Amino acid sequence: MKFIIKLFIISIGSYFLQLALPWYSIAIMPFLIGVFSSGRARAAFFAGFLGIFLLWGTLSLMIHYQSGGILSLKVAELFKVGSPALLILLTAFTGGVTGGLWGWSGYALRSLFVKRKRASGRYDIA
Amino acid sequence: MKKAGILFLLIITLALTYVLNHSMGKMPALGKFMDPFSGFWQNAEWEGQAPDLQTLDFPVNEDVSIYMDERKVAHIFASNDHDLYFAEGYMHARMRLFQMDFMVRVASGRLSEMLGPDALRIDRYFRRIGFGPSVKEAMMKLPEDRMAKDAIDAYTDGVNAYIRTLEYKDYPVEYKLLDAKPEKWSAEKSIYILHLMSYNLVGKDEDLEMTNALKFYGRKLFSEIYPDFPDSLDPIVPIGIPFPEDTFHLSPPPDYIPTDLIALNRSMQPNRYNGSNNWAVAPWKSKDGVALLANDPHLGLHLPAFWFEIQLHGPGQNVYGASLPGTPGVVIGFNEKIAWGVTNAGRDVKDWYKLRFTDKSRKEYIYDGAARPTRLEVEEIKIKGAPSFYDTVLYSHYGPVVYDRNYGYTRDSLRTGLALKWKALEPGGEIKAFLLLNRAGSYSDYKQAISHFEVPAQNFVFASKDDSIAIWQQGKFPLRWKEQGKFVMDGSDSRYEWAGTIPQEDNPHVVNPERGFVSSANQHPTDSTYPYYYNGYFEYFRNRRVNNMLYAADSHSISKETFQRMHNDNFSLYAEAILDLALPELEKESWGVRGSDLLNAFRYWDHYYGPDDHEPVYFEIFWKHFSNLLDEKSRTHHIRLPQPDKYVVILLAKKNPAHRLFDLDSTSKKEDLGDLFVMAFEKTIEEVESIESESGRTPTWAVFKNTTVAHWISALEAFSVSHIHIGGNYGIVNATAHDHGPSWRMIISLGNPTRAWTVIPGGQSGNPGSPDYSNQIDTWAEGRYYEARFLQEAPQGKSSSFKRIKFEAK
Repeated sequence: MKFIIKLFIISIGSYFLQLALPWYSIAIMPFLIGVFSSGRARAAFFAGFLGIFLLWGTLSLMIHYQSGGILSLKVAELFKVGSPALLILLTAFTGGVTGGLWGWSGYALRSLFVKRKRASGRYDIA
Repeated sequence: MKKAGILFLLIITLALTYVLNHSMGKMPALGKFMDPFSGFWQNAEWEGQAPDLQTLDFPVNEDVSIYMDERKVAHIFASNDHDLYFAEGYMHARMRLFQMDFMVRVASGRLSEMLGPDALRIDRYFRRIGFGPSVKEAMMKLPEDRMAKDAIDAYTDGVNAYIRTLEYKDYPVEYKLLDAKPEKWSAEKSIYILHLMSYNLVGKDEDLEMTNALKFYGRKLFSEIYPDFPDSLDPIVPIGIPFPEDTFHLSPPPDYIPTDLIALNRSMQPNRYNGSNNWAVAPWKSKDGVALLANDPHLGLHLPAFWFEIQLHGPGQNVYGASLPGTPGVVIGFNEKIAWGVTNAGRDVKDWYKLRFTDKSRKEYIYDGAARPTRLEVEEIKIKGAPSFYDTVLYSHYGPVVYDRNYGYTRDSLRTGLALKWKALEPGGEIKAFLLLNRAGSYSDYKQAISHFEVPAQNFVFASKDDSIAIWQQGKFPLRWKEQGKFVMDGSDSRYEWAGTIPQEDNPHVVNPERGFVSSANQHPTDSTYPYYYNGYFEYFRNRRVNNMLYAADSHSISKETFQRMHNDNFSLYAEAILDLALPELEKESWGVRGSDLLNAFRYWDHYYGPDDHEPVYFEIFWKHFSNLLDEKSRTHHIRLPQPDKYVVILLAKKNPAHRLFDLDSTSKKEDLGDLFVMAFEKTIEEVESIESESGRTPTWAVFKNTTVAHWISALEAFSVSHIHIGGNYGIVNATAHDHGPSWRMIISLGNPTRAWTVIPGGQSGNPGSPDYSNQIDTWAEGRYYEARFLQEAPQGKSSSFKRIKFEAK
C-alpha cells in the first residue's frame, strides 16, 4: 500500500473512532495498519505519526480559529508554551507520537507473527 | 527485530499511552487533556455556536422554556414551581457547575481531595468549625419547611439532570485540568453553600484578640481604643428615631472580666471587608417621581463570577436578579412590584467558650460544677496523591472545640479547649425567606418574608411601587448582657450562656423616614440608645459619603445616573480626615526635594482615588507605614492585638495626640501622633523613591492596586483577569480594592414598567473558553451597566435575539 493511502486511512478511520471512543482509540488504526500491511518499520511509524498528527493538528487548528483562540491562548499561558501555535503543535505531536508508536508496535508484532507462521509452514504472508 | 526488542517496544508504547492517560502531580493527563475531540479544545465556545432552539427530554410536569439573551441571562418560563426550580438548577449547573462544586468542597472540607496537599490547611479548618453536624441537623429539619424542601429538591433534580448528560468531553475545563469528575448534587450541598456564605459574612471575630487587648491596655485605655460606639455615628436608623423598651434587663456576672492572654495561632478569617452598599429613595426625591433602589455587595473578586443573573417567571412570581449558583431562587433583585438589596449586618454572632476538661482524656468538661461529656468525631480528609489525614474534633454543648491541643494552641495546657458557639451553626429559614421575598408584592409581604431569615444577618433595603421604602436589619441576634461575647468566656459557668434571641419586632428598622431615603453600608445599625447590647465589625466612611450625597440631592433630582455616579464615587473620606491631621505635623519638619514634592501632592489632592491618579499611591503607602507603627505593640510584646479601626484612630488623634496608642514600646522615647506621622512619611519617601528608581516613574493608582478578578483556584492565573483599569478602594463607595470589590451592581427604577441596570465583574458563563466568561469586566470597570431585559411574558414568534432551550414534558 502506498504510504499516503495508509496515512489517510489512519486519519479518517481514527476520526470516526474518536467520535465514539476515548482518545486512546488513536492506537487502533495505526496498529492495524502496522499489522496488516507490508512495508518497513519506519513507514509504519510515520504513517501512524503523521496520520494522527494531521488529524489532531487540523482539528485543534480549526477550533482555535473558530473560537478566536479564546481558550487556546489561556491554556498556552497556563502551560507556559508561549503561543497557541506551539500548543497546537504540541497537541498534534502528542497524538502523533502515540499513533506512531502504535504503528511501529503493530509492525513489530507482525514480524513476530510472520516468522512464527512461516515456521509452522502452513501459509505465508507476502 | 529480536523478541526482546519487540517486547521492549510494546512496553514503551503501552507505558507512554498510560502516562498520557493519567495525571502526574499537577500535570493533567496530557493525551486525554489535549485530545481535540474531547479534551480541553472542546471547551472552546464561540458566538453563534448554540442552536436557536434546543429541545431536551427531562422529567418536568409541563413544558418549560428558557430564553437566553445576548448576555446569556437565563429567562425561565415555567408553569409550576417544581419546573421553575428544576430549570434554575439545570441552568446553574450548565453555566457554573465547577464553582458550585468548588464552594461545596471548601465548606465541607473536601478541597484536598481534588487539589492535593496544598488545600489541607483550608480543609482542616472547615472540618473543625462544625459545618458537618450543622448541615446534618438542617437536613433533618428541612421537611418541616415544605416550601424550601420542594424548591431545593426540584433544584437538585435539575442540577443532576444536567450532570447526567455529561461525558468527559463536556466536563468544565477545570475538571479536565485536575483530572476530576463532577459529582451528583444533593440538597445537603445547597445547604453547605449557604453555610459558606455565613462563613464569609459572619465568620469573623476578634474575641481572642480583644481578650488580649483588655489585659494589655487595662479597662480605661481599652474602651478608648476599642469602643463599641465611637462618637459621631451615622447609623442605619437615623439618630432620634425611638427604640422599644428592653424588657429583659440582663446584667453580666459580677466577676466576668477575663484576665488571661490567649496565645494561639488562628488559622483562617474571612476578609473583613466583605460588606456592601445599598440605598433607596422615596418617589419625591427622584426626578421621575418613582422610588429608586441600588445595591452593590462587596466580596472577593472571582472568576467564574459569584452571581448568576436570572429571571424566574412562574405562577405567582416574575422575579429578576442575582442568584447564587448552588441555591434556588433570587437573592438580590426585583419583581413587578418591589425591589430589594442586601448589605452585611456585621454584628458579632460568633463566641468562644474556654473549656476545662476533667482530665487528659478530654471525655468530659466542667460545667456548673459537674462533668459533661464531650462527643468525638474523627474526620478523614482525603488528599489527592497522598494518604488521608485524620483529625479529631471534640464537641461540647456549645459547639465544636475548634482550638485545642491538636489545633492552634501553642502553649496552653492539655486540659483546655476553645469551644465555638456560632449562630451560623443553627439551622435557619434563609431559603424560605428568599422564596417568599421573590413573590412579595408589598411592604408587609417583604416584612413577613425576611422574618424567616436568621443568619448571616443582613440589612434588607426595600422599595415598592406602592411608595414605601424601608430597611430592616434582619437576623436572629442573641440576647446578651453588656460586652457578652466580646471576649473569650468561661465555658464552665452557665451564667455566660446566651439568654435567648432579640425579639423580631425589635430588630433595627426604618420605614418611610422623613429624609426620603434609607441606606446602609455596614455601619452601626443604631446609636448607643438601642436597648440591646451588640458589638461587631462596622464601617465608618462609605455610609457617611452615601448619606452626604443623598442628603445633598434636592427633591425631584435623583435619577439612575445619580446612583450610577454614587456607585462609582472614588472620594475617600478617610484620606481627607487623616491628611487633615497629618499635614500640619509634617509641615513642621523640613524635607528634601522628593519629600516636599510628596507633601505638595498631599496638600493639593482632592482625595479622589481615580485610576490614573498618583496621590492615592502615595497615601496608601503612607497609611501602610503608619498603621504598621500602630501595630508595633503586637510585635514588641508578641501578643495578638486587634487592629484599631481607622475611624477610631482618627477620633483619638483629634482628641489626644499624646494617647498611649501612639507611643511605641520598642523605643525609650515617648512618641506622639506627630512623631508617628513623621516616621511614616520618611518611610513613604524611601519607598516611593525605590519604586521610582525601579520602574522609572510612580505607577498610577490602577497600576499600583492591580485590581484582579482571580479564578477560584488562584493558581490558575491564566483563567484570571488582572491589571483592570479602575479606581476606588476599601472604605470608598466604589469599594474596588486589589482582589475585592462590588460583585454585582444593580440600580432599579420602580416606574411602569420597572427598569433595571446591572453588571458583574465577570460574565454569565463559568467557562474560561466562552466569550461570556469575563466580557462584563470592562463595562464594570468603566462604571457602566447593561439594561436588564425584564420580560413580562415569553417572547413570541421568532425573536432573533433570544436562544431558546425547551424542556418537553412527557
